[in-house]
Amino acid sequence: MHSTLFSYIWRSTKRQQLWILTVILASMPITFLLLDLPKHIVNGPIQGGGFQDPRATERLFHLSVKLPDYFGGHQLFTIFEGYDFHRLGSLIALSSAFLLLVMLNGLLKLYINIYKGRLGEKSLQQLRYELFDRVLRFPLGEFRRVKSGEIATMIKDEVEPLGGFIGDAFVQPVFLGGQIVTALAFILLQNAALGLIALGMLAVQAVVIPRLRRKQIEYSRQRQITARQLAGRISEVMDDIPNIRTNDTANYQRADIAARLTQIFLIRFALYRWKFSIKFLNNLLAQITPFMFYLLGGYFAIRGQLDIGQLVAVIAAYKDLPSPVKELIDWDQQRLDVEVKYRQVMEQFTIDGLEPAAVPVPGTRPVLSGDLVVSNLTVSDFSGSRLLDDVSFRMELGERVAVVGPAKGGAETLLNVLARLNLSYGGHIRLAGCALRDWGPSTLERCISFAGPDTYFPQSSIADALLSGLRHGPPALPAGEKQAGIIDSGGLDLDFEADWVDYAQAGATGPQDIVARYGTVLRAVELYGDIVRLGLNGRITGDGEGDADLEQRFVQARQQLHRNLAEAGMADLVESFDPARYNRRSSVAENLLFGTLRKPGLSLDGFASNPRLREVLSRLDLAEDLFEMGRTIARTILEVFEGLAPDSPLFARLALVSPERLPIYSTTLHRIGKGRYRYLDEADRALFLELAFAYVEPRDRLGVLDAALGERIVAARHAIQAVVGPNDERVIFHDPAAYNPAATIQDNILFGRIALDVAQAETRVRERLDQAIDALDLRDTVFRTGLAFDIGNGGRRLTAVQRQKLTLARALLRRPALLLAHRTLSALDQTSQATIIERVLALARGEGDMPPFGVLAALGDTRFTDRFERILMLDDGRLVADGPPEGLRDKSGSLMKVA
Amino acid sequence: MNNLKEDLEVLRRVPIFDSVDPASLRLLAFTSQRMMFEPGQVLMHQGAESDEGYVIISGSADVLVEAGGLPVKIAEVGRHDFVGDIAMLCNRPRAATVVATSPLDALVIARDQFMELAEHTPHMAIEIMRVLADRLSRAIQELARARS
Repeated sequence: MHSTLFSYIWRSTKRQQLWILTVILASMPITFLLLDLPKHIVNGPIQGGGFQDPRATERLFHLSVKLPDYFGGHQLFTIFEGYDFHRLGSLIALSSAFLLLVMLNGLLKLYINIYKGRLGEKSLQQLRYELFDRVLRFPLGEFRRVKSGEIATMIKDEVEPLGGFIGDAFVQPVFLGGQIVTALAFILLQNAALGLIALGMLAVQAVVIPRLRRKQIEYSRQRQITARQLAGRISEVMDDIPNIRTNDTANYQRADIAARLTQIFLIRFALYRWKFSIKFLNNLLAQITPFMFYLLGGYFAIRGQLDIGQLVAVIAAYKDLPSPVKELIDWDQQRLDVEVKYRQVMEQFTIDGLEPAAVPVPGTRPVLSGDLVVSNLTVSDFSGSRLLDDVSFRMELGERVAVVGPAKGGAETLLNVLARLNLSYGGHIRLAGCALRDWGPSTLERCISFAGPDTYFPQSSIADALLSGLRHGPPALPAGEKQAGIIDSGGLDLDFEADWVDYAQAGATGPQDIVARYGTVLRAVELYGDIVRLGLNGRITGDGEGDADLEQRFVQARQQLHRNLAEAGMADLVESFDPARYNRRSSVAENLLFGTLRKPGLSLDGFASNPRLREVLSRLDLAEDLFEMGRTIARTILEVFEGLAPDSPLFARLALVSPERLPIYSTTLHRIGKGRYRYLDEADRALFLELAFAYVEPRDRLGVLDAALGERIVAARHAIQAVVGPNDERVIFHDPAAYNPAATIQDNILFGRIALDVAQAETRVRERLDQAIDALDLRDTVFRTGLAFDIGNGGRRLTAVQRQKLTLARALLRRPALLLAHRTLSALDQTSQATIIERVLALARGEGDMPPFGVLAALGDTRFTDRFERILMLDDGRLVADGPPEGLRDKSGSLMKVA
Repeated sequence: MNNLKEDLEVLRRVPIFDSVDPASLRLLAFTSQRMMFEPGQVLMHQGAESDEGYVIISGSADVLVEAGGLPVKIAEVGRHDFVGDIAMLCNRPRAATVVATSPLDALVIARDQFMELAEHTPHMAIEIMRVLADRLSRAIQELARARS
């Protein structure tokens, strides 16, 4: 990274800058010819210059190298003889040449612009990559200082203008400078005095403007910093939302952001004022020069000291001057802006103690064996107080050791040091015969898993979250097609589309058999059942063909479940979807539709206004009856809830309609009185139909839906299906013999509604459902579906307990030689903690289907220490006891003290 | 067909709700859930936390108290009985276990519903006091009998 923008641009794009300069220089003759040709066309063929004799011809396109006139003008050699043309031919030839030049010029401009654009964009993305690379290499302590939002805005927004600038960085000043020098030289040659005036004015501009700009630079700097802080603050607020809600500090946050926005406004406004003031001054200075020309030049001309022709030529030449000067000033303005931005960004990214640059690492991981020796380990915090004080111990890598002690005992520090999260320690640590510091980057991390109490997951599926511990690279299986290498990675394989997962580390060979490994680790952390639950509530993400067999098995599971329930006398617990019968535990709308909407999350709101449905209902004379049913429901509810305070908790128990809508029903009922259905307008009809549509008899118990009405609704259901047809793009109808891909797996197997008004119906049905899944060997499919569950931003769709379990599962999936666990299960209750510790230790002893491994676990609770072979007890940073758990209990009171 | 009218009839005969006006009782019935139990199914476990009580609409159940590790039947309840009311009201663990002895239909009444009702019906609060006092004196009598 370079401290100034220009050195950065020059170093990284030197060759391209020189090339583009060459191309521009090469295009100059064309520009000149384009200006020159019209004169020839007008003077020659059009006005007849040289064609006084109708047979006269002119030689065109003659190309030769001549000596300059003052050396005699001898022709040295001829490149191209040229052709002779008559007047008309000459007109056509010259005009065609003009057209050709126009096209050539346009194409060259196109090439130059595209080249510059590509150069700028490529350099910009490379700069962003390098900045991001630096973030990854920040020393860990740095992350306590920087805010994620600020880093993001720096990498994304603040360097953005650089892209447009890089292509012009050198070309523009050279080009414009050349034009200015040419015009000035011409003026100077015509008249030295006037030339000096023009030069003087330019010098004033060159001196005054940069001085004025200093303040502008300061404003730009402030603008950038305040905008960046705004981004940082907003991301902080996002992360802090639960606290803001529970402490009710939202208005304070509003005030904070409003104050920042005001500040940004003031800075920007000051900046605008300053910027346009400078522009004004600039224009003024530029306009003063011609004023001087007219006044002084005129004065000299009147006095006869200046030839009028010269004056006119000078003024004409000066016309060409302001435009490049203005452009150069604009360029300078842009340069200033971009340089400030660059410097501001670089200040943040220039940090001492960066981790070494990433180098390609071998795909294989070292084998760890031997022991871990900690000698005289001492760690101090910022204030200098000792977190660990002269700690020494030795453990075999296969041992299972618990570290206990009070919260500030030092266990956390010890584990952070061993996980290389804290590198500032004194003393010596040797792991497998090599000092901890001397293990190369990305070597040890592949053999050791660390799981702490804090959990964070990027948004992904559960499977991806588990695999995130295995993506070290280089990718083993390259993707089919490689992207063009826009980013210079310094030798790293950055093929993102490739499969980065190190399956071998997890003991698998590929994406298929790793699912069994997920099963092992998720069972160990008691997350397997949760994933199956998620799978039941998920939909099979089919690959299309080949799933027919699977779907058929789910249909068989459905039949199995219903058979089992019937045999156990529990048939009443699920009211299944029978095309010929009204399903009492579904709403009227669900009975009419009798299917699932294809788009998940779409509700039946507004169903009452569906024109096709209404047409069918009217045809069967059902619309009016359902409307009357809605009217009765509305009347009853309003009667029952009349006079109840609006904040009464009882409103929460009203399932049929949201309490806010009750006043609408009240006024509408009042307005329409006893008005008949056919005389009412569409909105009123829909209002009461909606109420009827939401009605579920066993839940709402108003007795407004009898068997006869139910049968008529079933008839309407059939009519609707006849109208819509079986292959509608919005709905899939319930079919006892078919799998419904739009419904969840659980709904497909249940194929009906659980009778929630029967005690413990849900639990009892669940048991049978589990049995049916196992009977048809579908658990694996359900599990796989659960693995595809989207865990949400930061994993927030999982509970804190699930996230901690998932963190531990991910650490286990990596098959570490040593597992470092620091209060990994702190969010769990005692019983679950005990079970999971037991299972993980069994895996560690090699009792599961993975190789044995060592464990060094910091526990918040001494209750579970008996399960470990050895206990290290830390108190106040010192190792106060070391030995098997039984031995420790006997030591006078020390375990008691910590407990 | 289960419906509100039937529930209302039952609630009206529960002593605690004696003095509650019909409109409030209707509200109670409407906002409550029906729950069906099969013989042998447990309405509540002794010692468990809960915030619900059950008004029995039909069927019968045994009230069991654990004594020396064995369940001892102390009462039988049936139509119009309100079980679990005191534990629900006072936020205490269940004092007894209640097991259905026949197919049983009950109306589940939650604490928030009950409290809402009590707040607006002073007579009901007095009625609750009367029921509580009644049970307390009976318990003291039984204790005295057991001691002697």
